[in-house]
Amino acid sequence: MTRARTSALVAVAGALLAVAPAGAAAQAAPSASASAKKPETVTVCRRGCAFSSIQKAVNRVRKGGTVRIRPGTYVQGVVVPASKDGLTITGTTAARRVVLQGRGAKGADGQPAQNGVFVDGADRVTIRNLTARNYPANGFFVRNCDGYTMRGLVAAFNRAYGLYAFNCVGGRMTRSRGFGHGDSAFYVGQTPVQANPKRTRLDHLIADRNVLGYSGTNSKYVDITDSEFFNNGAGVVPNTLNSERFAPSEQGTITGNRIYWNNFNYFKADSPVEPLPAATEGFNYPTGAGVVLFGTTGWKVSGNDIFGNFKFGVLTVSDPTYAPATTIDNDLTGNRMGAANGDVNAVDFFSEGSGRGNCYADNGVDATFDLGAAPATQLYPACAATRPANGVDSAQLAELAQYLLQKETQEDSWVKHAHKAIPGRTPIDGQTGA
Amino acid sequence: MRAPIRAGLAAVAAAALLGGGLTAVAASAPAGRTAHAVAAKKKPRQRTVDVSDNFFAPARLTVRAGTKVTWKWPVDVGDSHDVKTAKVPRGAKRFASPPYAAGAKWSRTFTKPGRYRLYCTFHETEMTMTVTVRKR
Repeated sequence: MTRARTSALVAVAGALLAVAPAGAAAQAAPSASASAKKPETVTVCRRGCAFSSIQKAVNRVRKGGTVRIRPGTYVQGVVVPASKDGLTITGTTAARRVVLQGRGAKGADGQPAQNGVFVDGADRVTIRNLTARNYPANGFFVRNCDGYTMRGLVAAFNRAYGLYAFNCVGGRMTRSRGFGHGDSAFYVGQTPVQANPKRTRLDHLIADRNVLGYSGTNSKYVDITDSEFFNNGAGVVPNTLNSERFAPSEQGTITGNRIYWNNFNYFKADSPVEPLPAATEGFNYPTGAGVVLFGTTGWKVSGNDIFGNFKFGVLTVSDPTYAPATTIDNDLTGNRMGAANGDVNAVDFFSEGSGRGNCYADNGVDATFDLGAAPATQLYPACAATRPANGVDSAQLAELAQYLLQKETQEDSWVKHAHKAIPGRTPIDGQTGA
Repeated sequence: MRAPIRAGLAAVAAAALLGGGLTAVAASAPAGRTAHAVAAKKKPRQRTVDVSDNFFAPARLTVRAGTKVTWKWPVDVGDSHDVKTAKVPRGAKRFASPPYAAGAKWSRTFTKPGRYRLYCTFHETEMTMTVTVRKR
């Protein structure tokens, strides 16, 4: 990852901080009388309703109101302005029958519609029971907000992200599925620092056939639980980068998830998913990986089933060129790894030993650790009352760097095997994911 | 994850000067028109800035007052970017584009001379640019 320009931009960034997006507060709210004249609920359908345009319905309904969308395919993109706090946009039936189609869709400005639904600064908006597919940017996108709910959504083959939250405080993504994304199915990024954090909850999600299942650059206070991440390039990847504010990614939890078979080699020429350029400049994202903690602080990975990943069950790594992206005080405890699930990972844990205070405990007697030149007690110290020291192992670092310099050929070093069957699931194992 | 700067590519996407000049307009003007009418028909100067992951190209732009600057999002980028003012000359209006990822254009005409510092709100620690506007 190249950071050469970072120092030169510090002064500029300082100036920018003073004019950071202010979210809803910066937007003028409509007067109470004007809002009272607007309907509380409007219905959209292809024919025979007051509205066939979801955007026009959103524009018409009052703040806090509801836009109901009947089954059909809508070739549109929807923007919810900051004045629409508390709005609900909901399909009237299951998501599979209420489809926002991005291919050929135009926005109100005449440009190609970028997102299925884009909430730009409104607080506490709920989006429910919709599918968004084939948008050039994202399926469902909220930014600069205080709270949101995304429930019962399906995001498919949007170019970047499926469900995407940026610069928001609190929020929830639940009972939704994302597949076919060039970055991640679920993304929570640039979480503002908070003294009394409102946590973001991601639960009962399914992510498959994405470059990354979950990604969150500089994401904080995020709880990822009771979800499934399989057939992605990598399953769950909180990360720290200098491209966004509020580094590092910290104080998140990954608990009670099933993270398996993340062996999607999207680098192959016939892949239906084209990855976005990797953020780790010069290095590619790892494939064959269940969980990747990239420069995180204070994350807890516990009580997950992590198995059948052909390179790493859990990988922890820092960015040696960017100090905030150093792995610190992460706990990896009580997970059921490959052997315990009857479907091994190539290795359950891989660390290059960087950072400090990272510890491992109760991950099963059969858990495997990739050994380097440094002692295991340095790379994979046990959790204790006093945080362990850790210490970089240059041999591990070199091995990992060599892996990440490859694309399609990462697969050559995977340790492949047949998987234990899971009803309703078919492993990709390096194939196209079609 | 979000895409990085591509400093090495910045030079590739140089801005194009698209506008017509006074000479061409004057040459085609019917005889007898006043100088004022000719000036009114003068096409505005235009410049283009490419928006990529995660940089503007060019990152520094000097234009004359009245120049229309168009930011172009290539067809296949994918990550969202926008253009917002961080600092503007006294008396100049601030502005912000919507976020786009691919296949879009957004323009702004700079009328007030001075230096404008701009950034992408998604990547504000590294994706910045400066427009210097000179008097006509």
